Amino acid sequence: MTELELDTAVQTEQNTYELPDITANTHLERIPAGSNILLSGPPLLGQDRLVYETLARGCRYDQPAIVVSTERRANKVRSRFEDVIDATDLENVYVVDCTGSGKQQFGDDPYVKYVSSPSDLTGIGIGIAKCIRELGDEVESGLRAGLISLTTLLQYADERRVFNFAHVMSQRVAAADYLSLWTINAASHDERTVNTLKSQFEYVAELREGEGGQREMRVLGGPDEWREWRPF
Amino acid sequence: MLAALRDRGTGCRAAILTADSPEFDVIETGFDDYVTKPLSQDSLCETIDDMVAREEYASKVEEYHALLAKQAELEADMEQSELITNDEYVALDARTDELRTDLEAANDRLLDDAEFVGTLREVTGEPNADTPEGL
Repeated sequence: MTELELDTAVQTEQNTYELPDITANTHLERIPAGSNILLSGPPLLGQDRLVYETLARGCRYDQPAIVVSTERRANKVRSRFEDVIDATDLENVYVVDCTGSGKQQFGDDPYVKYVSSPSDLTGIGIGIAKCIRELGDEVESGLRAGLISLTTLLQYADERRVFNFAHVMSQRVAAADYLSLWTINAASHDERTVNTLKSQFEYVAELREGEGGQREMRVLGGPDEWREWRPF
Repeated sequence: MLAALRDRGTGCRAAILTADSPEFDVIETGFDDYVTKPLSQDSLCETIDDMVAREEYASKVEEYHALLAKQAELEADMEQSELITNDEYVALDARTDELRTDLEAANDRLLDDAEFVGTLREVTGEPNADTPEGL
C-alpha cells in the first residue's frame, strides 16, 4: 500500500462508524460520521439489542455512548452494557433517564441525567448536552447516541413536537459527526406520522420476522441502498 | 418573574443580565439567552440578534414539518405516477428541498449547547398564541 493509499484508508476509518457483527450480513457495516439511523419494526425483534451492541462497539474506538431511555431505568441500561463491555469502558456510558422514576431513589450520578418525563423534550436535550459537556475531550474520536424509543415519545408528545425534536437532534449529530440510532415500532403509529419522521434519517433499517421465524432486515437510504430483505 | 412572563403566554423572549459567565446553567433554568455585565449596546444588540436568528431558524423547522406532513398526506392518497404530475406536490417537494438545504447549511449553530437547548425549547414548546399553527 502506498503512503497515499494508507492515508486514505486511515481517513475512511476516521470518518465512519463501525457497526457490530450482527449486521454483517446487511449492508450496515460502516456508516459515515454524522448519520442518523432509524430502526423500525415490531417489539422484541432486537432493535434495542442492536442499539446496545452498536454503542458497545464504540468502546474499541474510544467513542463514548449516550443512551436516552424512556422506559428502562438508568441502572438497568448500564447493567445491560456490563454484559458486553469491560468495567473500565462503562465509564464512557452515559444515560439520560426520562422514565421519571429514578431520581429520588438514586440521587445524582455523574453518568446519569434525569428528566422528569418523556414529554419534556427540552429536558432530554439538556440531559444530552450535559453528558457531552462532562465528556469534554472524550468525544474527539466520536460519540454514539441511542434513543429508545421514539414510540414512547410519541405517546407523550404530539407528532409536531417529536418531529421538531428529532430534527434538531439529528442536525446536531450531523454537525458534530456523531452517530445516532433511534428505535420505533412503526405499527403503533399512523403511516403519515412514520413517513414524516423517516425523512429526518439518513438510514432507515426495517426489521421483520421472516418465514421460519428468522429475523430479517432491509436498509433504505445511504449511497448503496439495500432494498432486499436479508436475515441477520 | 420568568414564570410569570411565561404564564401570560406572550411568547416573548427573555435574556438575563448576569455578573459572571454562567452559560449553560442559566439556559437550563429557562432563559433564552444571557448578557454578561457590564452591559454595552453592542452586547445587547448581539444578544437580541441571536434570539431573532434562533426564532427564524425555529420557524423554518416548523414550516419544514408542516410541509413534510402535507406531502406525506398526499403520498398516502395518491400513486407515485399521480404525484409527479400533481402541481401541489411538485411545489411542496421543491420547497421542502429548499428548506432542508437551508436548515442543514445552518446546523453548525447547534454545536453551541446554549443555542442547541434554546432551539429545542423554541421548537418543542406549545405553539405561541400569536403564531398560527400549521402556517
